[in-house]
Amino acid sequence: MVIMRAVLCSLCAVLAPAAPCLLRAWQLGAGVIRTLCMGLALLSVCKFTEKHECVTTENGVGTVGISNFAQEEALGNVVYCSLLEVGTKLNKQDAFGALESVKAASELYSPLSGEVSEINEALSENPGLVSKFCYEDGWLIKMTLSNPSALDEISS
Amino acid sequence: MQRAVSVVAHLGFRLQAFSPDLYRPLSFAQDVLRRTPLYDFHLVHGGKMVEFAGWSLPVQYRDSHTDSHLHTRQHCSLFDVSHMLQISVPAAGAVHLATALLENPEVKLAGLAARDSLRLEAGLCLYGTDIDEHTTPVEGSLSWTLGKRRRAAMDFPGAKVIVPQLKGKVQRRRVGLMCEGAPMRAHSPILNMEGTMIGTVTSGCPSPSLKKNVAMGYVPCEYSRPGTKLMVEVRRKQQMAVVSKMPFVPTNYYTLK
Repeated sequence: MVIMRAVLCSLCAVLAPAAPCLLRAWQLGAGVIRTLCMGLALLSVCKFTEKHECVTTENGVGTVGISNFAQEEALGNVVYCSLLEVGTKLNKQDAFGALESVKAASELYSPLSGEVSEINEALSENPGLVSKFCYEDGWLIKMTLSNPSALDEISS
Repeated sequence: MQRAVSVVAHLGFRLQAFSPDLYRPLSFAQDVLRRTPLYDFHLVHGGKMVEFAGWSLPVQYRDSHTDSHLHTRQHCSLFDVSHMLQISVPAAGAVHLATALLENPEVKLAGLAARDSLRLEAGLCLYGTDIDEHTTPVEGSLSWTLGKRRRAAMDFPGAKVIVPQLKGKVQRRRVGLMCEGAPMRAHSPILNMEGTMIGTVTSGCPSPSLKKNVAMGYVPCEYSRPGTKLMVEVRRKQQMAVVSKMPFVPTNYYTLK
């Protein structure tokens, strides 16, 4: 797990300059996170919910994906993805879709309130892409946020 | 693979009732669970251990579930079923035997996850989930297990209920189902085309071999013919489904003939 997070942080660095990578405190000690991520970068801050959804925001638009932990440890290979339609209004913690592996299905819960503005159509052909969230292609939905500052409520 | 599947198939009908929740990650002291003679062997080979019916068993090894499933179809896998089966080799010889079998380059270890998706593709029941003490062999589409002699002699438990069903009608039958969209899984309601609930899915998963969703469940007799169009409800949405013959993937069991 620690190794995986170190690899994640390296990937963050390759992809973009900017803010510190805020990983969930329970996965690594906070001090360790700072050490690993000092000088590393992300296009924007990546925040994680308790249910393993991950969200970054830019200009009032949130991009939602799932954490690597959820994808690798909890779910295994994702073989199917279903998402609600563009235009759906979501409250924080509303279900917005599901990911399925051979053995189990997992519902997806919105980390923030807002309206679905885009869904990642590539996932219907290639559901395995979800493993690449934060790092390009694996995003699930984008949403216009009803309250942009609500991002701060999500614990890191 | 064929031999492994045939061994499991013969045993399937002699299993004790298992928990319908197939397996749970190990969350309590391992010494509460029973271990097969291959427990350490599984750990050495990267087995991820989970609780299953009071035993600590590997759900998978280092390969993904899907890779393990497909390897079994195309080559050969080794499953530890010693929690059910007495193999006539002393327990002390189990590791030696398993190691020897693994020396064949075609053979890989496979765990509970692959076993479950493979048996579903083969149309085989999981006791406690697809059949239990409330189903008869006729309802379970397992009449083939009752030989002529027994049907005539009626000298087995439940004969008075079962033999009339063989000759006459049953209320419900276990059928195979296939659908597009989200995978059907256990407890999904089955509906007729008018939207009335007529039955329930007992097992289901996306089939790694077919890349389609397969399932089995019980429906009233009049809906049990292959090709019958039905609906299955998945996460509050109704999806088209069709009654399908089983096995979903053709079997190729090794027989001594």
